[in-house]
Amino acid sequence: MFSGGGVGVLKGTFTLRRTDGAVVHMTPLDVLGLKRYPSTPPDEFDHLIVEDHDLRNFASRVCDHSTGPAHLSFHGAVGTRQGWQPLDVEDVCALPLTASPNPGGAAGDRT
Amino acid sequence: MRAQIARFIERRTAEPEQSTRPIGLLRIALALIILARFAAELTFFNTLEASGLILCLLFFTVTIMMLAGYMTRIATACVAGSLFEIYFTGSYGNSVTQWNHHHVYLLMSATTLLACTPCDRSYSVDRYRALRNAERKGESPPPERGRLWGQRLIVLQLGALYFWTAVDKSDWAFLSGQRLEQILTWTYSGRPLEILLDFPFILAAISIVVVAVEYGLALGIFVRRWHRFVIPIGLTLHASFYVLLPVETYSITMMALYLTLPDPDSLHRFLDRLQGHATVAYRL
Repeated sequence: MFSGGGVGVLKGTFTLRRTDGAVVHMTPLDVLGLKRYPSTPPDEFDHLIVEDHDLRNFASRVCDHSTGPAHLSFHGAVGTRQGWQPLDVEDVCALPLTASPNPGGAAGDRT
Repeated sequence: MRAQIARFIERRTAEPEQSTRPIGLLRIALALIILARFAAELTFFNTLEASGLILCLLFFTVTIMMLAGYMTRIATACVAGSLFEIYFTGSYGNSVTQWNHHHVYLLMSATTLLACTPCDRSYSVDRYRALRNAERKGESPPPERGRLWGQRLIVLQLGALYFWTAVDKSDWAFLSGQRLEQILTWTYSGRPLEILLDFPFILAAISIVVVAVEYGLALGIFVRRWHRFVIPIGLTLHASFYVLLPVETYSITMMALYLTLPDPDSLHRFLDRLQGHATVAYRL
């Protein structure tokens, strides 16, 4: 029952360091610009983290729209079937942008 | 000697006929759940091709026949075939979302096994026609009884499901509460029950209880004298899943399948008492 649920979900903090020296801490939902995850099944959500570089797609709203060069880091963990796996990336926006972050619901099935 | 062996085998393998009311009720419940799950996606206005239109028409026809109990066994087998098509291809005229999920598999397998039961003999148009036929011939009403090996397979399926789902969770990731925390992070972030994420020890305790209950149910549903405890616990577990987690039709299907657990004849007598027919109830 719901054995695949929550896989690819982030827990942790994004930190945005602006060129003016300001530091902004954001939750994963803040980075997505959402108040909550959608009611659709997780495997239909195209911002699950299957590989580390999926973080770049996850944070594209911040990386692509922040004014001027920005430095975005993430410290936390990602949900896997083996539990929370630590995930620390110092420069999220420097990760390669992948064409399809979560092709075909790669995070697995769920009830 | 050979005759004695044959009699012994016959005694051991003979299947007593029992009440078909539980599987009649299960048939109605499954048909309604299947309609609730798929009807919106298989409506004609979602269909783009003529061949799809025929499949969707077939789906509604056989599912409603299954619900009403008209040509019941054939209709139920056709519904099972439709669910096979949906589960294994993701398409049935129209594409179906979440087609390869556990809740669809459960509906498919339960309906398949139901088609192996005499689910036409109670609460059905077929039953009404049989009664009318008997009246015309001046015969006594046909008994609502049949061989229920298919029902026993449904119970076996329930037990296997509980066992393997418990095995699947028997690791540190689940028992430590991490997997439940991940699920709740997705489900409840930004919602009032997000507060649950602040109590990881409670999530770990809940995870352990869930796995223990599932192992218990895997065994307990086969021990009839434990049913007075097992059935309420199981129904509570599924009701909790239903309101707390996005499990689609899974929980309600499992709760409906609990109709296969009690002794069919006891349930028959209970239904007679419920309807005030105890004094004219059929005798075992």
